[in-house]
Amino acid sequence: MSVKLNTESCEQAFDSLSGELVGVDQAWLSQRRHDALNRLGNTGFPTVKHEDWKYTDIRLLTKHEYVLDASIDLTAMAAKVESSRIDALDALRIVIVNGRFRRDLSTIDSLPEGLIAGGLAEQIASDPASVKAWIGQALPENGHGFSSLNDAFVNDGVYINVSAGITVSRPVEIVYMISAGDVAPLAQPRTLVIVAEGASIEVVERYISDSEDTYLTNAVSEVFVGSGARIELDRIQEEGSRAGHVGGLFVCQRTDSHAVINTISLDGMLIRNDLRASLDEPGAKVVLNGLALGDGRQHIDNHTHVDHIAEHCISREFYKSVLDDRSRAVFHGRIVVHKDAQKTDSEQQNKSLLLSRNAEVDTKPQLEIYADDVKCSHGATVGQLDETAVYYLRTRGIDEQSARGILTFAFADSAITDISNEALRAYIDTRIRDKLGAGDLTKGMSF
Amino acid sequence: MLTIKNLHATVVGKPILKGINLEIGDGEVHAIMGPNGSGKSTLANVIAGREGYEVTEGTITYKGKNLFDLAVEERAREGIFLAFQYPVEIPGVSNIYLLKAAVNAGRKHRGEPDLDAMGFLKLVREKLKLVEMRDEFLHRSINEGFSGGEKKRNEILQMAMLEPTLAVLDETDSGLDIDALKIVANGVNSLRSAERSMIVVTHYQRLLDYIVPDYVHVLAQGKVVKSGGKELAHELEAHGYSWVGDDAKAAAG
Ligand SMILES: Nc1ncnc2c1ncn2[C@@H]1O[C@H](COP(=O)(O)OP(=O)(O)OP(=O)(O)O)[C@@H](O)[C@H]1O
Ligand SMILES: [Mg+2]
Repeated sequence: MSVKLNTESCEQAFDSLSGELVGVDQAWLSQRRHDALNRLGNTGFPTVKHEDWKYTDIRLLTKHEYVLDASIDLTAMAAKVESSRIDALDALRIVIVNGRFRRDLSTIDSLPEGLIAGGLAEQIASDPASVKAWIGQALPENGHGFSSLNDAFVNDGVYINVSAGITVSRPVEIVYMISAGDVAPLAQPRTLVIVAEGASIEVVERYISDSEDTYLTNAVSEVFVGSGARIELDRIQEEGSRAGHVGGLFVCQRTDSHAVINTISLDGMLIRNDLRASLDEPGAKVVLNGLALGDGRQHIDNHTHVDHIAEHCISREFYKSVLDDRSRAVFHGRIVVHKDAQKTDSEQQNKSLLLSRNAEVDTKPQLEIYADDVKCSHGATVGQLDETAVYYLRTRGIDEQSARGILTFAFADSAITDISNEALRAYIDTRIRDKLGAGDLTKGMSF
Repeated sequence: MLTIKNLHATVVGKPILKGINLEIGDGEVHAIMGPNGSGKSTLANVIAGREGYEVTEGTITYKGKNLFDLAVEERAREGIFLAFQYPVEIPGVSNIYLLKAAVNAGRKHRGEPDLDAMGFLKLVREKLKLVEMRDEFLHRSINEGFSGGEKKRNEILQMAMLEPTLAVLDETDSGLDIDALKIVANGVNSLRSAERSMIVVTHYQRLLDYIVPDYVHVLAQGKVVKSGGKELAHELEAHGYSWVGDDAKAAAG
């Protein structure tokens, strides 16, 4: 079944496919899908005329026809899943191929007590109430066409639920893979992560493909952090060179919860991230870190939105981009301090390093404050390498290329220091080093 | 060691050095004094090879070689060290990392193997003691958040690690309290040897009480207007720059 990114085509696809989606017997679910389709019908897909899409032209994506149920080359996938393993990570692995959960490729045979981790479709089939209670709860009402599309065809993905008081000691790694080929797959995984009161978990979302074919990932993740609960979510985007990736991540936090979200965008032709955190109850803290590493003609757009709903919440946001060649980054960071959110403590920063004259960044920090007793700061800088620093390193005997590599690497690497898992950090370090061509001298540089 | 002949240099097209002649022999310590803006740092940067400092006339010969044939990093590996008047802060790169990379760059140049972790640590501990810095400094970003005095000591630490043959210290004494001044001077003196030469740029006689120079030169308006022995510094201290000649007088306003 193929589809184009316009309303009519999506409606047609829906008519012929909706009967085959999981849980058709569940009225609430069918209703969700229909509502989402209606929303899509009303809003359509965004264009550059939308303020929020001013710098991101999705015609690069809309010109293709995508296949919703592309076939999967299982042998090839099995090999790729294996080679994508980060050995020292020692994670529980959930593998998603073209948006569908693959138990056969996953490593979740022995889950610790208090942890449910597996496919969303299976969860809907076996315990629909456990999904109904959460799905869609974190989505804003005025979402854009892509999240409505994900919602309308919601079918499979990931379901993770940590029971109250449980600390999951091993990271849970979700590997979203693509099996492309003659057709351009559209993968629409939906991920739900529920961390109950006092529980704690580290989730690593990896979007991986070495494919040079066209495809589109349109992912939506919802994260619910209960009172006193903690989550670190590391989202690492290593999509194919012709891939589009539209990723929504919606986080809701309760009293004294703590969420750290690291978004590392490495590969992919066009990446658009919408990250929204809602601090619903007092004492919640969210840390958002981002790194966009662009080269060639890559386009990486990070839209973030933090809602300070309740008082005494803290948000920290640090986004960096390093852009070479003709790549382009967009950062739009919106922080809204609602009227009851007294004693809000919020800080936001966006720093960009341009390595080429043709690279470009559009940055727009935006602060809206409706409470009077708050502490908020934000800022953005765009610059080139500090030539005095290059000179300084050279006077110590370090060759020019290495000096530039060291400084660029240091700039980028400081964006990942909140990733607590050492093995993962080492992996990302290597990827950053390779992509920047930063040279061997930067090995052993990290703090 | 270093021979500077009729050196003219411009910075962003503006002539700054206007015919400098200097001869620095092996093991000698030369102090360079002179009013603000006279070109002392410019000379130091021309020796180190900084881009944008264009030599329009003259020569510098270092250990028998044309210095201008060497890139900045090659000069460093050949034993030239510049202690910056304003040391640069480099967030995200730790001191210890720089020291290791710098030491090994020099060793590689000399055909020696990298220092192993144990050997390196032993060396760095020894040198830390020399400049009385705590271990903690090793793991901080280069000069980031360092006090003025700590930055200067950090320069001396790097120098001590690299054991240069020609060290150019650009106002390493400015901003130091009296104890730090002694520490820095001590560090410098411990490196004095028959094979190592030094150019010490300073405004103050005080430093030269601790690092006793063989020669003192006065730079004014891009020229050496007077040279002499260590007594010259005392006379300058007593009489000011206007004493040394018209050029200096003009420069001093
Ligand atoms: N990048 C530059 N652009 C413009 N002018 C410069 C630049 N660098 C140096 N100059 C000028 O060159 C002259 C000499 O400067 P230099 O730093 O060498 O003086 P100095 O003798 O070291 O002074 P100080 O004692 O204050 O350190 C000054 O007039 C200075 O303004
Ligand atoms: Mg100076």
